[in-house]
Amino acid sequence: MKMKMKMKTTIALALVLLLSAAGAALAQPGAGPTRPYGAAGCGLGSVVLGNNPGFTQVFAATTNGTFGTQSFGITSGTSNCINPTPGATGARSFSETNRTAMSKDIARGQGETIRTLTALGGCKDASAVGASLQKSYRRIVPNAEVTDRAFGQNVVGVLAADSSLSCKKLAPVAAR
Amino acid sequence: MRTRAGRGARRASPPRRAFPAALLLLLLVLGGLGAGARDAAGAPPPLSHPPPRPPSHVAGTERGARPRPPREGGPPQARPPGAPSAPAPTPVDPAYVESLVERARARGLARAPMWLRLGHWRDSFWRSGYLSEVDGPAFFLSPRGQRDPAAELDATLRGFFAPATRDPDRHAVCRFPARLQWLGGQLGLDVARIQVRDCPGLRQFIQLLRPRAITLVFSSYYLARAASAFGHTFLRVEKQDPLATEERRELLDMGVDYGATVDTGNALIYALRGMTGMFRGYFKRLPYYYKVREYNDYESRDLWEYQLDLAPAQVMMVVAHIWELGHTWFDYYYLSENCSYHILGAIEVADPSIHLLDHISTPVIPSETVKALYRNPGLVRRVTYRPSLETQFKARVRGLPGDVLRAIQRLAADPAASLDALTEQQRIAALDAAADLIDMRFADELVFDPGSEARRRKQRLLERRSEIHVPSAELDVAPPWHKAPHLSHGSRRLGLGVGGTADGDVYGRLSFRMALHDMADPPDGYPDLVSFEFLPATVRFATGGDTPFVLEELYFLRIRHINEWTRFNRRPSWDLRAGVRRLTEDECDGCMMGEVAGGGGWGDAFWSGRLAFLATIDTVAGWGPSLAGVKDSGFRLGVGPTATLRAIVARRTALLFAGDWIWLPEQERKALWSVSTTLRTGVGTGSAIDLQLVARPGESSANVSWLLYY
Repeated sequence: MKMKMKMKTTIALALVLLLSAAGAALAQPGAGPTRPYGAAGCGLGSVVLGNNPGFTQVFAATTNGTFGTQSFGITSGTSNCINPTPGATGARSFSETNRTAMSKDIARGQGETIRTLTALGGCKDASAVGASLQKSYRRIVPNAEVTDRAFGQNVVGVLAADSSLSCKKLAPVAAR
Repeated sequence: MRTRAGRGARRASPPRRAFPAALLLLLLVLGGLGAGARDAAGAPPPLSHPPPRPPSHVAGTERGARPRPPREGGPPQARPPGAPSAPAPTPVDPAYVESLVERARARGLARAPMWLRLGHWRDSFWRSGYLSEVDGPAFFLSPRGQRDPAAELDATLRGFFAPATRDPDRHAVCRFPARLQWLGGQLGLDVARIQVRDCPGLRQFIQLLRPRAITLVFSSYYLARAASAFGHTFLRVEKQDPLATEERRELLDMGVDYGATVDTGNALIYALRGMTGMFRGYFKRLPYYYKVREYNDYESRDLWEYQLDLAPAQVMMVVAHIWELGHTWFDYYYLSENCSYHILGAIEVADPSIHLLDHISTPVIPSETVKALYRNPGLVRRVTYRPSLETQFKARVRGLPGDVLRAIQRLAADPAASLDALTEQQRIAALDAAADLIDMRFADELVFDPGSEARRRKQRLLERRSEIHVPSAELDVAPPWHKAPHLSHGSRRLGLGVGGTADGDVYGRLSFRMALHDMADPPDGYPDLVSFEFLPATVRFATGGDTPFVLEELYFLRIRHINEWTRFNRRPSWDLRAGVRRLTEDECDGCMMGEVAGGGGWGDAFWSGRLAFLATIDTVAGWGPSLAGVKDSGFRLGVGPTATLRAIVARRTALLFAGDWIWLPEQERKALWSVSTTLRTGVGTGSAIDLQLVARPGESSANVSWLLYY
């Protein structure tokens, strides 16, 4: 009898623990293994965090000790990423960050990221840009492991190399 | 995706009084300070195309590490020869500055609402006088600035006319452009006496933003993470399109966010420190596309955008103030001084006639801050909607025939699955939807794990899709206008009613809920399949009993979350509650029991959410001082099924059935059960009538309540 009671207490305890663990898991499902962050280029992974420190630490590094003297939010590691201006650098960092969505738009031959990329590259026509990128999908993403950075470079490379697109703002890269 | 649609009315032109002051700021920032500054008031330079200037020599040499903005936007141009260059400033004259200080005092500017907004001073709760919510000391030029708006005003005026600093960006004029803009408008400052000629950092900031309009963005409720369950708001600073194309590139706008710098992964410590102001909150800026990718795609949350009807000078004022706030911090309070609160505070400096913080109360709920915009008639110029990835996916698969839907399912598991039976258009539809499905299911792996199976699947799908050299059609998602957050019922709820039991007891009934929504509440503005209640409580009062007031229930949290069970989504539904309630069964009639209960199961919805169903297996753990539980201890343990059925019978009328049965092993009572029926109908804009029948061992009751949402 005593034994049985003991077992029940154990079960009870286990149930409570299980429940609280479930509660905690519900409360913060993002908590998993620590993710890399920081110097990961402009990819979304450098910013998105779940409950992990990625996002905030990137910015903690910036904001600590700044004192009216810096354009806030600029870090040395990600400054290109957060200043989307027309040109090769802007187009590349835009592509890096938007990779998850843009790779789909490239395969589909159209989409918002392609229209924005067209503007950043100073290209003439978004549907021509879409068609050109679609045909070059395998050059841009030769395999699943391609880094965000290489993805961005490949996108800009394809646009700059296709003279029919007349991407004015990407000219310096084409010449290089 | 072309899914944007605008709604809203223009109001009469907003006040323009601040314009000359804005000009002052612009001239200073854009380097035109000098001869023509004061007589150019009638012909402001176009906001859209600030003249590119060569990088200031001052900025470069002293802080070589400072990043520069990429300059492909246009090669730097030298100032045209012969153009009037800025003359040397008039020498510092202490008498002039002191005369300004006197005038400011005589006019009582330190008590002006605008000045108090610029310094975020509020009546101190603890002591007489003011206290600023800003906690970073660098925000104040006077050592007493945080508590003394007048001292800070004097110090600001003196700072504006102080000798040039070695680093111009450290000069008061460059650090506090919004104060400059406002004080300039009030006192007519003599700009020729300002000793700095240029603010390189601020100038870069303005040139990067090219502000045209301010938009408040509401990111929908995200139950998967506690901190975002109530939604989130941030700003989008709309950019003048440098290429002047017809279609705007809003992804390139700047997002401005206020959030806590969280340095713990521990939920308990997070909650504790978040409630007590032990995190620092910072304003941060990131391109809007980061926000879109994070919220719209990665977290699958719809975004609602409220463009504000502000004049150019007012836009400039907000941007200038964001610059000021970007260099300091606030103590972050999860419930009061949170993201939504300070975002509103930043908007409020646009004009003294705009009142936002007056219309919100603690706890500050993001959707309530959206409604505060509407308390200022005409302030919202336009509402737009940006559908989440999940919403887009649903739009993609809507109306597709069964064999295409099956193909999508197959593709998500095996990206090489054959599509030979489909037409080209169907193949495109299947591949496009399958790619979205992979993105939804494997958001984490795709972003963080380059070697993941998810990435390989997506790659194969996209390779196949790219081989069909036909562009996909534009996806057209009709905005669900009735779900716009400004239409939601008030976040707090007060209930007053009467009830009676089958035994003949009659009582009054008072209920309160701090937040937010349950499945019987009017559904406009809230997710259809979620019930999220924070601090709901019910008290009965009667004259006949031992005590006039009896607590019926007080929950800390009570959540029901239905995940629609579709061929593409097999996530379980779940419920969770934690709190205290009064028992009615004979063995312990009137006992109080604290409980934590929750479980998972199956849920689904039909007819676009009008009929919803949830069935779970719940575990209950409770404790009460007089409870006869396991081993005659005060602990109760049980497990059993629950069921909930909700029908929306009219737009604002819902019928809710709920029942549960719980097995109590090794306890005096073997099992317990309860059933309830609720009929609730919205009345007017902010209230509802609620009819409720409840039966459980020991008590059956009927209640009628009037519910007020506020």
